Amino acid sequence: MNPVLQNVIHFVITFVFSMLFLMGSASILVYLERKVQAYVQERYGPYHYGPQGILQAVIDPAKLLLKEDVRATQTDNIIFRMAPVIFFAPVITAFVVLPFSPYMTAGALATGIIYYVALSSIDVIGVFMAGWGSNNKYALIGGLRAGAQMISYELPLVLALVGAIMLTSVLAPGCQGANPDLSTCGVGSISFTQIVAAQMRPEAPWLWFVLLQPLGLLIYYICGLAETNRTPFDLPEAESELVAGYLTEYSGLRWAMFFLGEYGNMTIVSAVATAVFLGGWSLPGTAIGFWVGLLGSFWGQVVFNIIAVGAFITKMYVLLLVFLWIRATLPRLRADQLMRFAWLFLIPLTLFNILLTGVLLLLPLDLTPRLAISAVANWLLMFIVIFSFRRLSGLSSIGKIPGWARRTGKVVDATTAGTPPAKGAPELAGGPVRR
Amino acid sequence: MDLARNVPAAGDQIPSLAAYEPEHINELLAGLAQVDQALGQPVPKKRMNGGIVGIEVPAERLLDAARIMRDTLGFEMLTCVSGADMVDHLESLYHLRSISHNWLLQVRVKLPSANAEVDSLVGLYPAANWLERETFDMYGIVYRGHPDLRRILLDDEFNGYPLLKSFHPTPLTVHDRATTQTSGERAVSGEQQRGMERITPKHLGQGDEERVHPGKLTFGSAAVYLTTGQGVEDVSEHGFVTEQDTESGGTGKPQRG
Amino acid sequence: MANDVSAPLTTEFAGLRSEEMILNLGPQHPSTHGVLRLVLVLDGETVIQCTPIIGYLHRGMEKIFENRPYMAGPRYIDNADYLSPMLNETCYAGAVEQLMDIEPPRRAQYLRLIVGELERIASHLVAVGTYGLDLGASTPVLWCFRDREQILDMFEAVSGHRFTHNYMRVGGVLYDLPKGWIQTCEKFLDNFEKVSLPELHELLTGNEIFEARTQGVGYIDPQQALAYALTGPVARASGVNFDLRVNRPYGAYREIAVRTQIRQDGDCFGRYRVRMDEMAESVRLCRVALANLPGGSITTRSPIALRPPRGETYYAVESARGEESIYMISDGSEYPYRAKLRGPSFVNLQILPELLRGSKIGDVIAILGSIDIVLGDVDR
Repeated sequence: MNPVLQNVIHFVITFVFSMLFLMGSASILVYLERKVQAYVQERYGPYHYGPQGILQAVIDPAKLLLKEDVRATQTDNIIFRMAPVIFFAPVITAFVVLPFSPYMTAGALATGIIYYVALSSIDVIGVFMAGWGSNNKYALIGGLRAGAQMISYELPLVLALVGAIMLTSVLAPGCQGANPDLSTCGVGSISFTQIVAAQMRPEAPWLWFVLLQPLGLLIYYICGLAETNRTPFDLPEAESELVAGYLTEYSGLRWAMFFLGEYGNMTIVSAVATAVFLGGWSLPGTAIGFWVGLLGSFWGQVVFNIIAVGAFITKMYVLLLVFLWIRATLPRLRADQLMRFAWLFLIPLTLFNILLTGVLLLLPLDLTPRLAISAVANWLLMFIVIFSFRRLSGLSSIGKIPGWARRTGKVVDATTAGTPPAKGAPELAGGPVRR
Repeated sequence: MDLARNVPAAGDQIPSLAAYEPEHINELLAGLAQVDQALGQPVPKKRMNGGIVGIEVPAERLLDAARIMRDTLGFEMLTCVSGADMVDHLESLYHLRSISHNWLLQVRVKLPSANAEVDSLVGLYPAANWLERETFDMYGIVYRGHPDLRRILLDDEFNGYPLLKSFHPTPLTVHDRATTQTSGERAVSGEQQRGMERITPKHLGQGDEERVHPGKLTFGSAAVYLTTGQGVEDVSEHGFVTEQDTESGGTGKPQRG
Repeated sequence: MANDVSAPLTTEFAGLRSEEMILNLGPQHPSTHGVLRLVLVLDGETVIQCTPIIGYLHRGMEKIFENRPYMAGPRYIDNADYLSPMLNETCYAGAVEQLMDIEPPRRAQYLRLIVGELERIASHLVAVGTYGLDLGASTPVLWCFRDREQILDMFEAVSGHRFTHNYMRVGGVLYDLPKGWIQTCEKFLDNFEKVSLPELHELLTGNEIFEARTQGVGYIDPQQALAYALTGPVARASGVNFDLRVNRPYGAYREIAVRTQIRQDGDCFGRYRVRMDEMAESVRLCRVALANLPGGSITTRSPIALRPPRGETYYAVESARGEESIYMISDGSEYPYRAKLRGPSFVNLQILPELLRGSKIGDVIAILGSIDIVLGDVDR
């Protein structure tokens, strides 16, 4: 077949798949969110349309599209109208680099991670514009919070990914053996396909980076929560404080773009975590060599790609379910705690993680002991972090009452005044007494 | 000052029925002698149901008495401030609790209806702030020295003091409406309707009539029209009484009696 | 209500001048627990000044009391603190009884205690659940309402109404317990104590974020609590050992001892814990009362048209939010001459501006929720 035509077909298939997947995933997530929350909260959730209310996934977005577009008169017109678009566009464009399977990768960019990070940081502009353009104080506070939060959490998010990128460089061919070839060792990749490929080496059948760097996944996931404004970091739209934050003045289709964009963002965050840490489309215990047999024929390739997409999406939805689970469980942080958590806890931790991974490069060891040492160190670090979270995170100790303020904390008691205390008084102390 | 200084530590907790015992209340009555001493005159005291002691303090000596009660007798808490309109005079009532001695004291201050003013207790008990505002709101009792004596529950533009016995809930026309119907055939607008009140007693089934015969006047004949000049006596024949709101003004005190 | 908010319009820190923003929080807002309006003067996220404006739910309840017979009082007072109507009714009925110097039969007093303690659990469940919601956790409120629903069902069985029960009568209660009610109640108490309450504790109490949001926030020291006449869980969380059920016991509390739940934290977390502990204590009280439930009649013989003798009285009960009391004057007629209702929420809310000064916007909601006001009780 004509290679140009092949490329065109490839592009059309992947593009249509990506778009459909994005929109479909967003609406399925809306349904899932309601259903999972209902499950946690011992309710039924959506119930009436379709079996188990599954058609709610269609009805919810349809309702949003059909709603009246209310716009306050005093808004900053242009900014107000542009904000949803600016929020939503990067979500769509970021989808092209996601490696669903070897074939289903619309843009196998060499700079995949950079591309993703760059696009995900555009969101904040949309949110900020929404906050400013709404001409509403709640929206303004929400927008300002969003700006501070999303920019702050961008840093540990990228730094957490750096750890994984360094792992690809450790695994680069030049680094094999006791005496690495320093001219090629240390050259990793920031392409998603390359990172996924690095996790499927024939000699190491199950080399998902989560096994080597669980801490990286943890931090990336936490930052992903903050990036997508999800509980416990949903301060910009904190409904109990700011009514709806930057979304206060939005309704109808514009609101739907923010709404679906948020779910699209969640999907992307989970997809990136899947690709970088969970081995992408590989299945447990399989190396790329296993699949080669299938790749011989056309239908073999089709089957292979379908399985790969299925594996990718399964992993992604496991992560997304954790999003929903967290949403149903945790309360929300306060603004200052949020910032402190990012700057004083997450960023030092990621930097330490990078340092740890960097030391790995210098160890004069074979690849396997090298990775083993790294993994053990990282797991250890993660457990330390989890079990001393209270002390390290600096959350619970914030704003404790200092001792001098407590000096008056004395129990004021009246029950014994004027009454001889009866030792071991029975619960029924005599009959009624007249007032 | 340390309000909690006399308070004993936590101990066994049994229902302290002693709060209602006569001996326990006698202690309080004996303690109240200090108030007599300080005021230079015996204050009337009485025992009430529920282990409460009621005293009556002259309005001008309220602050002195309250200071003794808080600092010497150990009444740490001002629980409640209420007003009462006893027709010939107003009353401001304070319920004080001593948590350390488990006493409950009711302090009554009688005030003249025409010029009801009494010292505010906010300086001694911060809790008095809103409680006194509420009493001012409902009775118009002015608390001298209150930092922020405004209406609290009612609207700022509200006219009159609703819990006074002389207050009658008449619909008030504060702002101009588009028109006010003055008779079955005539309506006035603008300044003309100022101070004019239209009271139409509706009867059972009227809503149905209006729905069946739109545009038909179904209640015009029964309406009572009032203007500011008209006497209250005329109105009471029909069972309605009006407060003459426009003359007393928005900020002034209402005409009582 | 007043709109006069006189606030300085600029602040200056070390030469840096920043403009302040006035934010109207309420009266229509998801977490002001009703129609409370807070005028906040903000410097960034920090509250400089807070002016609560109340009265949006003012129904003139005291005037209504004056124009209704004594028998109609319990029905109206249901709507004051609409989350604990049983306790309000106990207050009103008790006040008239004290005025008339009559004593309800022991069985009636025990029934009052049982439904009162169940109502306390129901009310605290709303307080704890919505507090979780205020802090952004959506699950506690639904778990709490699941249990509250069972209590309301029991109330429906006993009084005919789920919410505005109209169950108390001057001189007793309206109905005796229906058949099988005690078993249902015991089943609920067992389930609540063994399953629901531990579940709630697991969800909220040890949670790092919950602790971070509540510990050390909104500190009230006992001096302040006394000075501002705070009562109920708010005062007890500040170490003030004051509980009317113990200090001035009324009804069946004269026979059943209450273990007052006190904490010295003084912060939002302490208030939350006191409510949780009080729920466990209420379960115990219900059990004791059910086990010792006396027989006999449930009401004294009293005329429909009550005419208490001339006089005045002051009667207070420990409501779920603190001291709920009525000052009542009778002129010998069928109508109260004066009935002043002291709502605990109204007095407890006073301290809010003091607590909010210098806190963040997020803490505004955390502190307000921990005081647990009911606007029906604030505005009356």
